Amino acid sequence: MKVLVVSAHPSSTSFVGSLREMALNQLQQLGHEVRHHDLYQESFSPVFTPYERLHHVGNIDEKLEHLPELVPYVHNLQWCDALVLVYPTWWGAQPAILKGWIDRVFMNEVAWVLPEGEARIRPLLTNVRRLVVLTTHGSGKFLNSVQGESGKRIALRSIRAMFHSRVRTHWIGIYKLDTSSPAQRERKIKNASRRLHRLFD
Amino acid sequence: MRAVVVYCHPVEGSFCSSLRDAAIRGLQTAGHDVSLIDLAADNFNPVMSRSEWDLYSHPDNHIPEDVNGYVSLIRDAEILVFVYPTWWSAVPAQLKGWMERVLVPGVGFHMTKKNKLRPGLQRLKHVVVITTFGSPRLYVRLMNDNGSRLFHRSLRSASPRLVRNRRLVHYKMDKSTPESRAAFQNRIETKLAQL
Repeated sequence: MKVLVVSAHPSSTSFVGSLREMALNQLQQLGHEVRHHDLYQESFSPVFTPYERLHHVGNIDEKLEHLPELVPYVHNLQWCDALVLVYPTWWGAQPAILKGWIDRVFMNEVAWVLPEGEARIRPLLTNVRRLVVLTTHGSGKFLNSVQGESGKRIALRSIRAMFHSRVRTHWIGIYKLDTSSPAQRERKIKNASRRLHRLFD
Repeated sequence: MRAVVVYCHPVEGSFCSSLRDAAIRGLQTAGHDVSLIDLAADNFNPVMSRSEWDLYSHPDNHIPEDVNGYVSLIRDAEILVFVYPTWWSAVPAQLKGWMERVLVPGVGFHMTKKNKLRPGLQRLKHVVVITTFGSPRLYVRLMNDNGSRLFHRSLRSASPRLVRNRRLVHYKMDKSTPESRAAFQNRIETKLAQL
């Protein structure tokens, strides 16, 4: 399987950093072809530019000529069979750098088109048949449900709609990180690793 | 009351900027003291850096220079108004990053020794969300309005108990008419003048 891993965390020695390493190792060991974007390492700029707003709908080749920095992100997204997102949940959702990756890369003629005369957009990323989200939360499951888990909805509903109509989605949420001991953290990583193994075996 | 309008849109002169102006007019009619935070004009960098993250929960959390001005503005704010376009069911990355970098522990919330969440913006009384959707109302209800969830739920859980939430939205922007747009602007102006 061709797997694209997109990760976002300012520190590579953090828990999310180990989670990302675990995911990459696991996928490679299972013999998948893996490509990886570490948005922080690559200094990805998440800010939607005036050019992108003004050419919101338009010819993709022309657009990418103006936005060369987005080309590898677009190509890898169109290449993969499975997308794996690894990030910490901040204020209930993806960090800005990852939200910006969605804002900028899921553009017209890459993620969707609106055929002339039709009322609904049509998804274009039908190559993506599996979406896995690996994310951490400082607080517990209860507070997160009260807050509405917007990150989960953005991933599993909003961007999911651009993928294959029968894409399988998997949410691997890790909770209560703020109060867990090193041993508990170790266990949380192990559990996540086991789930990932089952999904991609 | 002290009101802060946080506005995020890449293009000046867009419909969103007219909503920002309508909001400011309304607040001024009501006699509030209004400040504007324009993230695009400020060229705000929404990415939390490594050093900010390292110090995130540290007691003498150092607030970076490009964020300091925002912190002193919102600490006194009684009304917070957010004006933004909804993208992928949520706020633009630049606004999300503003939340992450400005509302750090000690500013946006406090953590007690028992790891309980306590409000940071003590003076806050009203949170108003003004946004536009491309999709119709039903679709937004089904797919979920994650911008409101961010301000009316996540921020709410870190706000004083009596904060009142208000949401002013325009659905189906793709099919909007000059009349629907003008009506929306008027609605914003009247509602905010009543605060």
